[in-house]
Amino acid sequence: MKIWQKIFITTLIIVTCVMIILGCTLVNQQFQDDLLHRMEQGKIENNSIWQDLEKFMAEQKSDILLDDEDFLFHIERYLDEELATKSGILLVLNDFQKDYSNHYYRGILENLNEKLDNRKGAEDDFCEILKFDDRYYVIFVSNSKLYSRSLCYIMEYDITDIYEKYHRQMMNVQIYCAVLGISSAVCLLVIIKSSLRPIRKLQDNIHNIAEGNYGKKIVVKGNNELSILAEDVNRMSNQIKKNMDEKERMLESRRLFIGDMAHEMKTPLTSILGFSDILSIRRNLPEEKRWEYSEYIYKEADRLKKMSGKLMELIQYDGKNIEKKPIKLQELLQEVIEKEAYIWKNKDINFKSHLCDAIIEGDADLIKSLIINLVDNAVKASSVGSDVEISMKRILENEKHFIVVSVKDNGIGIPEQEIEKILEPFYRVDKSRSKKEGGAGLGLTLCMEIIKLHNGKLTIESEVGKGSTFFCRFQEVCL
Amino acid sequence: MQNRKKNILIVEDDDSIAHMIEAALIMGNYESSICDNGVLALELIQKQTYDLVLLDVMLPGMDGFTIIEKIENRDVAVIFITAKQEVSDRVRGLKLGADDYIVKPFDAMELLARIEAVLRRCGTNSETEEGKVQYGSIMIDESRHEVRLENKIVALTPKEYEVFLYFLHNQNIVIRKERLIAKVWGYDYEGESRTVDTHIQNLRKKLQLKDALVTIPKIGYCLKGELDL
Repeated sequence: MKIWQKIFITTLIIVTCVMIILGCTLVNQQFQDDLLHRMEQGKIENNSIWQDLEKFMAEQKSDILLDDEDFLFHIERYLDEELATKSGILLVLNDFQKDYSNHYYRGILENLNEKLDNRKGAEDDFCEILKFDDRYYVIFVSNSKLYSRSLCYIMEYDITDIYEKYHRQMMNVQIYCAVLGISSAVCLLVIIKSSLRPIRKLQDNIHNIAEGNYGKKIVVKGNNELSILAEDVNRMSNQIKKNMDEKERMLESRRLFIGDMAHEMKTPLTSILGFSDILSIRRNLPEEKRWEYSEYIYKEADRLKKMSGKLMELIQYDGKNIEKKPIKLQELLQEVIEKEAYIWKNKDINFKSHLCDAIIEGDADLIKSLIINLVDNAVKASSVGSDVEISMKRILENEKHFIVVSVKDNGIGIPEQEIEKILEPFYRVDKSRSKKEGGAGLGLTLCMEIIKLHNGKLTIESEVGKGSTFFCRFQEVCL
Repeated sequence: MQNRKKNILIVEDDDSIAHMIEAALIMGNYESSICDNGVLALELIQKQTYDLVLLDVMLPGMDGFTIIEKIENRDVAVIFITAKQEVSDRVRGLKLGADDYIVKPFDAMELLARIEAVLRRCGTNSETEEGKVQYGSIMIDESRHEVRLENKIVALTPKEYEVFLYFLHNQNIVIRKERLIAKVWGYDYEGESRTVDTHIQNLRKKLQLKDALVTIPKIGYCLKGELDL
C-alpha cells in the first residue's frame, strides 16, 4: 500500500475514533448530569405533591380524621381536582385495599410485572427508571402514613426529554465526527499529495541518473526535507558526473599514452629493423660497416630497454598507495650526492648542497628515485664542469610546515612555453640532445607521479641559457 | 648501360634512421646525402640535382607537408616517411604531390622496392631501356625477354625469367623467400613455398648457376655478384 494511502486511512480512523470517543464521553457526561438533575427535580416534585396532599387534607373538616369514607372521598377528590401535575400518581391505601390514581397514571409498575406488593410496606423509599411505551419514567415509591392510615405513594415522573436529548446529541456527535474525520483526512491527503509531488520529480531525475544522464538538475522550492533531498540528489548527480568525466579523462589520457608509447617505439625500431635486415642480407659487407651497423642496433636496442624500464616504473606507480614511513631527508640527499654521484662523473659536475634537518613521510626508495631523476636532468642540461645545487628550505604556509627540496642547474634552461609540456610523457624539448644523453622523455612524468603519491607539489623556474630550478614541496612531519 | 648512379636526398632528423637509410641506399647502389632539416633540404634541392627525396614528415618545428608542396615545385620525386598509420595523413601527402610513402618501421628491402618503383614510374630508371645485361656467360635481352647461355637460347618459363631478373638486379644481396614470392607471384599468393625452391633448382640447372645462386641457410637465396664469380 502506498505511503499516502496509509497516512490517509490511518488519520481517518484515528481522528474519527478519537472524536467519537471524546464526543460520546461528553454526551454521556452531559446525560448523567441531566439525569441527576431531573431526579432531584422529580424528588422535589414528589415531596411537594405529598406536602400539598397533606395540606389539602388538613384544610378539610376534622371528621375525616376519624371517618374512613370521608378520608377516601377526599383522597379521590384531591387526585381528580386539586392535583396539578403531569406525572402519574398512584396512592395505595393498604388498610382499605383500594388504589386511587390520577388520569396520568399509566400503571407502569404493574404492566412491567414488577411486584407491586414488594414495594408496599417497604421501609425505604424507592426510585427506579423504567421504560414504558417508548418513554422513560422515574418511578418513586414511598410508604408513609397519612392521618394514621398507611399509604403507598407512587409517582411516575416523565424524563423522556433527557433521553431524547441524549439520543439527539449522540447522533450529532456521530455526524460531526464522521464529517470532521473525513474532512480532516481529505485536508491531510491534499497536503500530503502536494508535499509529495516533488517526489515525482525526484523519481524521474534519479531514473535519469540511473540511465546515465547526469546533467539535469532538480529544483524544489521551499525549505523542507524534500528540497534538501533534491539538493543532495543534485550534488550526488554532479559528483557522479565529475567522477565519470574524470574516469573518461583518465581513460583518454591512458589511450593517448599508449599511442604515444607505440609511436615512440617506432623510431628505435626503424633503425634496428633496417640495420639488422642489411646485416643479414648483404653478402659482402666490409668489416667496418658491419661494426658500424651492429653498433647502431645495439644503441637503439639499449634505448628501448631504458624506455621499457621507465615505463614499468610508471605503471608500478599508477594507482599505488605508498606506505608512509618517516624519511630523514638530509641523509637521503647526502647519500645521493655522495654515493650515487658516480653515475655522473663523466661530466665532472660540482655538487653543492644546502641541507637542513627535516623529516617527511613517504617511501624512501621513491623519493630517492625522484631526486636522482631530477639531478640526472640537471646534469644532462649542464655543461662539463658546471655546478648543480641541491637545497632544502623550510617554509610556513597557512600555518602548516613545508619542506621544499630544490635542484638547480646552470645549464641550457627551458623555454617558457615548453615548461608546462615537459611533464607530459615522452615530451622532449630538444630531441637530439635527449637522444645523445639517452633520455626517453619519461623522467619528469615519473617524478610527477612520485610527487603526487606523496601529496607534494612541483614548481619549475627556468630561463633559457641561464639554467633551471625544480622545486618539490612536501609537508613536514614533526616527530 | 653504365648509367650514372641515382642521387637521393635523405631528409631525416633521427641520426640512426638517417644512417640506416644511407646504408640501405648503398646496398641498392644509390648515391645519397643526409640533411636534418627542411629549410636546408629546400636549399640543397635548388643547388643540386636529386632524383629522389626521402622526406620524414615529422621533423621538429616544421610541417612536413608544407615542404612536400615546396619540393613539388622543383619537379623531384618525393617519398615521404611517416610513423602514423592514419589513412588521412597518407592521403594528404599523396594529394599534395608526393609519389609514394613508407611507414615506420620498415626494412631495407621494402624501402629499396619503393624507391625503385617510383623511379621507374618517373621514367628515369634506366634499367627499362632496351638494354642487354650480361652475367658471366649469360646474356639477357630484356626488350625481348630472351636469355642466352653461351649464345644458345635457354627456355625459361615467365616466372623463372622474372625470378632470375630479380636476382640479377640484386646481386650479392640475400633475398628472403617471402620477398621473392611477393615480388614475382604477388602478395596474395597462397601456394607452397616449395614453388620457390623448385624455381631455384630449375634456374640452377638451366643456367648452370649451381655455384653462383647459393642458398644462405635460414635466410634465403643469393646470386653472387659477377665480380665474385
